[in-house]
Amino acid sequence: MLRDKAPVWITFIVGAFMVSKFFLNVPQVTKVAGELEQWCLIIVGISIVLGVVNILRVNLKVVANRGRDWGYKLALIVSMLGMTAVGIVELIVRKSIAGESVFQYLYRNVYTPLSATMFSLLAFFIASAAFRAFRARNFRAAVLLVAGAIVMIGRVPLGATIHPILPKLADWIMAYPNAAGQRGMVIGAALGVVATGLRVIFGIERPYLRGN
Amino acid sequence: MFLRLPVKLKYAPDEKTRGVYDAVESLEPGTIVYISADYGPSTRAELLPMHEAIVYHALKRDLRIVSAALWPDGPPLIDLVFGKIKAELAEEGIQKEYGADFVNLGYKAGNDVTIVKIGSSIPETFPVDYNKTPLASLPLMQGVKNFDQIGLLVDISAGWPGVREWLQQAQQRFKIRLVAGVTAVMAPDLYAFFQSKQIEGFLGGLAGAAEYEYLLGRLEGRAMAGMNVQSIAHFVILGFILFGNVLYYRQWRRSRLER
Repeated sequence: MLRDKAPVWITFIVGAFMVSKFFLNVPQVTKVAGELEQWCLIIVGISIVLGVVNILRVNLKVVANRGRDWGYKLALIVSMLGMTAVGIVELIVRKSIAGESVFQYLYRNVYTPLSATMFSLLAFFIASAAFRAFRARNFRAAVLLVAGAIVMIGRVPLGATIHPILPKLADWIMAYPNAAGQRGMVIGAALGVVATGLRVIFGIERPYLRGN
Repeated sequence: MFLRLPVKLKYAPDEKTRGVYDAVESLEPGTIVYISADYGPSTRAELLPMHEAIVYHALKRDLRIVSAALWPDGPPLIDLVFGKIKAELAEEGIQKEYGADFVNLGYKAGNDVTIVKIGSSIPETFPVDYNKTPLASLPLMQGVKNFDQIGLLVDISAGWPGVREWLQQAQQRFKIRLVAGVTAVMAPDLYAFFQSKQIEGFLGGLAGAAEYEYLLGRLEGRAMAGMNVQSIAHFVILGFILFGNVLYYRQWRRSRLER
């Protein structure tokens, strides 16, 4: 029973305390809250280690059993452990990974180009999706299509070069219909976050208790 | 190829780009600007040009920069930008030194909690900088405790954690001035915050960076060169959309006639 009740009570006490810090300007509250924030940063740092251990556990299993795409998973493990090892050696020898170092060399010449390449593949997906998905099947789809086309032309300087009205139209679409819709979504999402936060603090939802 | 097209494009910086420019221009020399580089190499093409432009603008106006990242990929990009702009300013006869004019505090895990902690105490959050130098030994960090000593917060963001988190935890709590630089995909989300004046201005994607470079007079800037390519790319995609709709219309007409 304590195993179920204790986490709920800790969540309530700490959650309510941290919310109260927002409204109270009392030095003792601020000091304790600052200490709790520091604890949180330490726990988040440790959770990164947990994440790495989990990646190793899941992917090593696939590699050991020669499961699907085991070659890619082996590449993931080797590159992850390799960068980690290089970083740790640099920290021991040079006390820092900044400046001219093997770690920075690998970051600039291996990780950065690979990362940018993966993202740049999106351009081809967008071109393919533009051809297949943006069809004026009905009135609403046609409005979306026209608005999207105006924003696409108006947001680049070539649009302003063609006609000065195009950037103004694009800005109007973004500043009025778009902002109105975004505002509604943000308010709705914020109310949802407040409701979920209160449910977690009061123990109605207990995502931290697995199976309960 | 398209980067070198001798096409003279017209730039008309809008009020959100001018908001960022005016925010930096309004600061007195010596004021500290906090720049959070919350992006990685995947969005480098869109965000690095605006990062460079803002750092150039700030250092040229004798502002001092404290920079850190909520993304682990951020600190090497901060070093890259500082190195490039330092060299660029040296060619113009302006000398800027690490530790006195700009510092890189590195990465700290914790997302929203890190932002709140920075607002309470920067030295407690970052006891050492990215080079593992104690903050107490850096001239720029003398007397810098929290957001009270920061004149402007600039967040360059590609996702989460990013502008929303800085807005919620820093701008609203500590009432600090905030401007942002985001990818073009994220820009539509920020109009509501710009209209309510929670953000003084923001740069949206490469187009926003190009407009900022135009305001700074950096006509050979990376973003302005990239706008040639982006303009062509937008029209190519529009061409695909039109072609797809023409084919769809023909198919629709054929099916109607067959009926």
